[in-house]
Amino acid sequence: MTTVLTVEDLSIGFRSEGKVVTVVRGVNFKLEAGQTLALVGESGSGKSVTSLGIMGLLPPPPQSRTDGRIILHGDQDTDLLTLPEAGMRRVRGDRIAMIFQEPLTSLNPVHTVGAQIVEAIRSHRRMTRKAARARAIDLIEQVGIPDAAARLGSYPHELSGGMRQRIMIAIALALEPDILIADEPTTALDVTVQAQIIDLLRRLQADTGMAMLFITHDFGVVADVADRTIVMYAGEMVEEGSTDTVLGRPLMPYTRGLMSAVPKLQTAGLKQGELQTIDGFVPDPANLPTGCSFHPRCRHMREGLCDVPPVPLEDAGDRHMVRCKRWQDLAEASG
Amino acid sequence: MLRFILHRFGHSLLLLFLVSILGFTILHLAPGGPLSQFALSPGMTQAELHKIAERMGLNRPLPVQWFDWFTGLVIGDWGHSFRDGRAVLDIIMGHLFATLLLVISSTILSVGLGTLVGVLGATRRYSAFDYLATVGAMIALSIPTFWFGLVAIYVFSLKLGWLPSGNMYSIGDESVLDYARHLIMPSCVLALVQVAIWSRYMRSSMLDVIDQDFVRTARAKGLARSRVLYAHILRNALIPMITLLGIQLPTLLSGALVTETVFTWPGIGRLFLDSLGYNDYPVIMGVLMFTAIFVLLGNLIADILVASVDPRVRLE
Repeated sequence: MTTVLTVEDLSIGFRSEGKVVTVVRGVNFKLEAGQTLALVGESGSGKSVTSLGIMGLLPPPPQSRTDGRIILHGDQDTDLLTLPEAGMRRVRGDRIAMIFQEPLTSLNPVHTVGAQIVEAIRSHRRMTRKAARARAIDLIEQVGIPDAAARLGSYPHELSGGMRQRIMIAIALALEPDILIADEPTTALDVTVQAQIIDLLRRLQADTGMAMLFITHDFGVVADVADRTIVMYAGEMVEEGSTDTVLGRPLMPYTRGLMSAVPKLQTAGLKQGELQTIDGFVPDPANLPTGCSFHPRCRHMREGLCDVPPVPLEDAGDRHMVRCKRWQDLAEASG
Repeated sequence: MLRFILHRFGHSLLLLFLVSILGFTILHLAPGGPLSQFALSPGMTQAELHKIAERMGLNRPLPVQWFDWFTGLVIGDWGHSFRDGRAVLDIIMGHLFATLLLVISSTILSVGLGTLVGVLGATRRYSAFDYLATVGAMIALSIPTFWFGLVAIYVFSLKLGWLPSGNMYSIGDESVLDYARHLIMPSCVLALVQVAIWSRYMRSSMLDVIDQDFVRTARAKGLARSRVLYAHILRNALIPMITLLGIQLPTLLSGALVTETVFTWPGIGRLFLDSLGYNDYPVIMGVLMFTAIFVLLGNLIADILVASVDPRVRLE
């Protein structure tokens, strides 16, 4: 496997009222060509901020502060965090592309979809307008929109949400990026459209061999798309492993809580209509609990243990990492 | 589109009809009355006044007078001035050039400068420039125009002697350069408040767009900063400005009154003020209707323009 991106010890903070509040701490992962990595977590867990950090789309310093390294591998390795804006601009869209949660508002309402695809191509490649249009038609076909040539002249408001997300995907794929970051790309869509978009992304990944960083809070989607999964909580990785392991044998109580909070048609042992939730809220990043950030919400919390730092990310074997002081007891208890 | 224009046209005619009734009624409710001008003549007697009223049809019931005047309005006979007997429409047209010259030049100045200041303020939010522009706009908006005008005359005409203090041209010169020299002060003074308004609207319109998802998309595509700014942010931020211009521009026709008065500029605003002073009812009503027509026309054109630049707007 070829590693296309390595994130090392990434921390991201924002300046707020004179203080820097760190919202992402010590994140490490690698993206492999042709593979999908899922970042899972609740709102405020830092998953979207991590993706914007990779794209260099965070507010510029001093409003934000980033530490660590984001290495884009290629003919030569580049640390994106030290790359000047002009170089970063060449990376965005060309080497790393991104699609977003809100297809309804992610396209410019006053330009045709054709113009928005052509613009992406021509800002990175020397290509005539005609050639770029031909490429745009190919792309629209590729993302499964019929009558592609006629669609070129459509405005975003003339298309459905699913269609608009397909156009976003077409734009993202226009320059055959090494990496596609998908930030909750199906959250705003109907369930049936969701499945179509995920199928499309998987097919396109198989065709192009790009790496995908898939950000979601939906374990159903994770099971569908991801080879590996990272669970994030309060800006930290709390569990990481192959998707089969993380979903099949979750070790961190937070992961288990998240998984049982997913509504299922039939859940053994649960009464109909009863859904398990995690009590409490994601902590304020400016005011994190000491020790394990999850301990105030955790049913298995032990005083004097869980609220004492440090809480390291431990290897549970077979590259399955977990950040929990009690993972061994809990694994034994649940058999 | 054609249906929309026809529909709006009908709408506008109805509005003009209502404006004519309302304006006519309010004007005649005001103290003085159309005869007060004649009453000032030395040696004027009540009997003579009565004769004048009879000759001019001013003793008929108001609705009849209105109907007479309104039918004239429709066929292009807007009546004659009480002051000098000239046709109202001719008088207005005679003042139109001066007003258009002033209004158009100051609008170009204020829209250009206001857009620039607004865009810079929005892209450099909370910078020293943004702060300065905000304070400057507040000052420009809170100090009356006539004061600016008088200060400008004091400094540039009286003290420095660079520019003429009033009028549109010097008698005997009347070259383009001469017009331009006369135009500089009034159009700058008129533009001052307009720049303040425009830059504030432009700034907030830009900020509305800057945080939109599609701007993030544009940046994620790796577009150059300038392209994100012009093709994506500014292009969307200008749409509400068209509507604003459609409302602002026509009101300046008579709204430049203060500036025109301070600089003795022979425009429609001053014509209106003078006519009010003389109780010259036909001219007052004429200017009123003329301004109303321009306001409605301005709005119609603005709507058509918005529809042509914003594909989401359909004119039905």
